[in-house]
Amino acid sequence: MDRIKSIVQKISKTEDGARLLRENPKPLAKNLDLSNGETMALVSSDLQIVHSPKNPLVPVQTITFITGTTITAGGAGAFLTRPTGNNTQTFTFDTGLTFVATPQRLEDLDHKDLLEVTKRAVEDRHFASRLKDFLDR
Amino acid sequence: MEIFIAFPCRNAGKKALETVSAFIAAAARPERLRFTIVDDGSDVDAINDAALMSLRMSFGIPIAFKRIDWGGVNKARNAAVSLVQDDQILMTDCHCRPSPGFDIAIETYAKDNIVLALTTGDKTSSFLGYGCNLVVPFMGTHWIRTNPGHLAKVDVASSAGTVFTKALHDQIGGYDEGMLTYGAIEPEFSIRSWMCGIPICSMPDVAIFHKFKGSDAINEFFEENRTRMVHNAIRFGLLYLHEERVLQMLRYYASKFPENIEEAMEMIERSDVWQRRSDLCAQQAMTFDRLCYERRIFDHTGVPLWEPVVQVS
Repeated sequence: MDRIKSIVQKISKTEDGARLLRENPKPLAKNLDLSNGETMALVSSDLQIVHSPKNPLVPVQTITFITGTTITAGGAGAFLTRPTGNNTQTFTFDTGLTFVATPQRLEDLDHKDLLEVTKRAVEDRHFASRLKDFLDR
Repeated sequence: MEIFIAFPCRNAGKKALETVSAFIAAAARPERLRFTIVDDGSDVDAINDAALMSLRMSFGIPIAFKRIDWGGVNKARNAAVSLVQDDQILMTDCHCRPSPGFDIAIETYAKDNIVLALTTGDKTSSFLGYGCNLVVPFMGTHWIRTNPGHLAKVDVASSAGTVFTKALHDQIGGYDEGMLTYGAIEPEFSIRSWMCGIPICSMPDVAIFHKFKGSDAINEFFEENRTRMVHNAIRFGLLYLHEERVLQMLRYYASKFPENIEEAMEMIERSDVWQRRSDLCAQQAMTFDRLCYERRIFDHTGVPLWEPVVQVS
């Protein structure tokens, strides 16, 4: 507990700590005397930040395909994958990290995903609006 | 057995009284209902005493009412429970109406050793949420959209439909009064319930229909409360996560809410979070890692939370 407290207090006291945390966590990790494991946990957390795909044709659940594999995006936008399967789709996320999503039209979806997207559009007005904007672009 | 319908309200006096009427109308045996309402420091549209008295007279049902200074839904919910002597409490929100016969289902299934998560519906759409899943490092929730089955265990009961006894509320420790106004309050209560050994069980057949805010109202609400909500989420994480997950959570919030993170961290610094973390550690029947293992809670990327964070070489 003391260690967590110490880390959080150090971040708060570090000048520009929040920006470093966001944009350049490695030097911050050094200042905080983080272990290698903690440093890697911190710098590899980008995917958690960008979990919301901008392309509404990519269901959020699709992200779970990486379960059990290692996939992350570097802070500068570099894309690093170490896939264990054949998943090579890339995505565009809200935070500006650039990935290219494969499905661009409803016709690109398979039957199961088309049903899922349709169901979400019927049930969720915000999703329907995003979907319309995306398809009309 | 009496069932207490408890809810906080703020600047929604008229809606609060409509909520009372809606619960009475939907009950199979309304004479067993009791109400306990806490006005959380309304600036406008406070509950009108005459209208409240009229409601009491017309239905002949006790309605306990208390005004408190604005302290947030956590304090208002705890204040509402403090007005209850015993029996089952359905903690809900203003703007709600239940499905017909909700009281019979509560009477049948509510017990001293479980918290019930009623289904949340939307008054204006077909949306149904059968409780929620905890999402880490967001420290928020996602709705469960597929019926998990009668009394299936879920991570979190929604704010609109949580059923417990007063004894359970006290055993869990009530809603965390270190949280600020809105956000993360009900999920943290549910997770703490789990860690006290009290499971949250879904009731798919009993719905509380809620009036969700429209997008303009939501945006305005978030603008007004964002920093406090970021504080609450971070507090939630600091109470339970281990070091690596704390780091990821802080980075998540620093990235998502750069304009709020510094002030939220200052609020954290001034708070009792470290003492509370220590107290909770000593009191709980189950660790958070154990809970994640038992509930199969994953982070956003699908990594099991009960295992060490995956390292990228």
